Amino acid sequence: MSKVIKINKESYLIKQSLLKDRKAQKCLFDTYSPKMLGLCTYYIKDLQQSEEVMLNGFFKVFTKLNQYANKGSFEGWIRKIMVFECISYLRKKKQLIFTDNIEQFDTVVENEIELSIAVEDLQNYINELPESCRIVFNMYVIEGYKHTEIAEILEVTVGTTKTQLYRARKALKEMISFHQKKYYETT
Amino acid sequence: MKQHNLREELQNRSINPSLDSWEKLNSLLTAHDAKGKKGSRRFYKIASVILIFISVGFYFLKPLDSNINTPDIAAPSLKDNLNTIHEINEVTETEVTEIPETSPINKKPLPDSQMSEPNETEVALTESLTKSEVSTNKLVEFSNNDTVTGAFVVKDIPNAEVLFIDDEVEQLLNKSKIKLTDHNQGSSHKVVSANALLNSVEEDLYKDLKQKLIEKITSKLKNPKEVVTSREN
Repeated sequence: MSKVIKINKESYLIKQSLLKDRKAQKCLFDTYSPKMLGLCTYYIKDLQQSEEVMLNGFFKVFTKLNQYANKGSFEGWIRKIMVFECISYLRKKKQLIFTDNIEQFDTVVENEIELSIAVEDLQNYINELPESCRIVFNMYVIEGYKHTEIAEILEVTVGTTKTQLYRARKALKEMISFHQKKYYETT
Repeated sequence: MKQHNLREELQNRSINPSLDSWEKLNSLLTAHDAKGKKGSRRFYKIASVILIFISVGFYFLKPLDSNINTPDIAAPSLKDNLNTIHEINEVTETEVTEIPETSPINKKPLPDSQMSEPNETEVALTESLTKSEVSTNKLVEFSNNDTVTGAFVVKDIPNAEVLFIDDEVEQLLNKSKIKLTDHNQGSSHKVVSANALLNSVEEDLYKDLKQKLIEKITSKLKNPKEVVTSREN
């Protein structure tokens, strides 16, 4: 029941935002900005820069709101815009460099990552990943894009995205095991 | 399931933005709205200027295009209609004769028998014959509104010649609708308007007619036998 009310409220706010009602736009901004800033910080480490990118993303959201076709969730649509905005920002800054060296990686089971660690620790480990690995990992694991989609968005080959994902997982695994060892040694 | 939970956990990461973030976004949006309004105004200005140019261009180019684009007009086929088409008011530079100012005016209506004779001429002289009114029914009258000094009737153009001219006009009118076949396209035809052709033909015709009339008048006036000056004379 509350979900229905929320959806109705959201659709009403979207309609009002289309009419350039600032109050409705502010309401949508207040609702989604914390999550979107969290998303942006996965891609851009610096908080100020990520906030700037988030504001640009919301600017696009409100200026291109007429393109939202009410298919799928509104939050998913905003997330997509934010991801694209982050990637374009990194491209402009020339921080997005992919190496095409395809490594012979072992097959990794997806659930192999140890989940006993706290989510905040995992987020910190993700932030420590190299730029290209982190982006592919975020897009694949957090946002749920497929390799073909990631390759299309980043304008690289599917092999490159798989390699980057493999490196990210490997690095995360090493980091987690290292920290766990450290934790067990201290305790 | 664990993967899904992990994804949700990672997706739900939230960081509160700074307090002035909405103000920044609001300023961006207002600037964008103002820009959009300016852009629309500029667009309307440019569109109106272009429209003005186009309309002015059409206004000045319209006479050039009228030869092709004017609709077909049925040409007058009867002689009566042709006679009623044009009347030319022109100022003639020739003075025929001089008569005293006190001389009365003789304006004789001509009988039908005289009208039919081609070489009969009646001239009433005025002080200065400057205005001529020429019509295609072979009648030329010189008149002055204030002091009507006379009538000048000339029947110099033979009926055969008039008929020949009429036939020529009719032939030209019949030929005026010309169908042009575009050999490149094979099927497209252009119909040339009769109106422009008719106008040009009639202009030429009236030039010839006027010249002939002037020549006849001058030749007749030179002949003293055929001039009737006034009652006193």
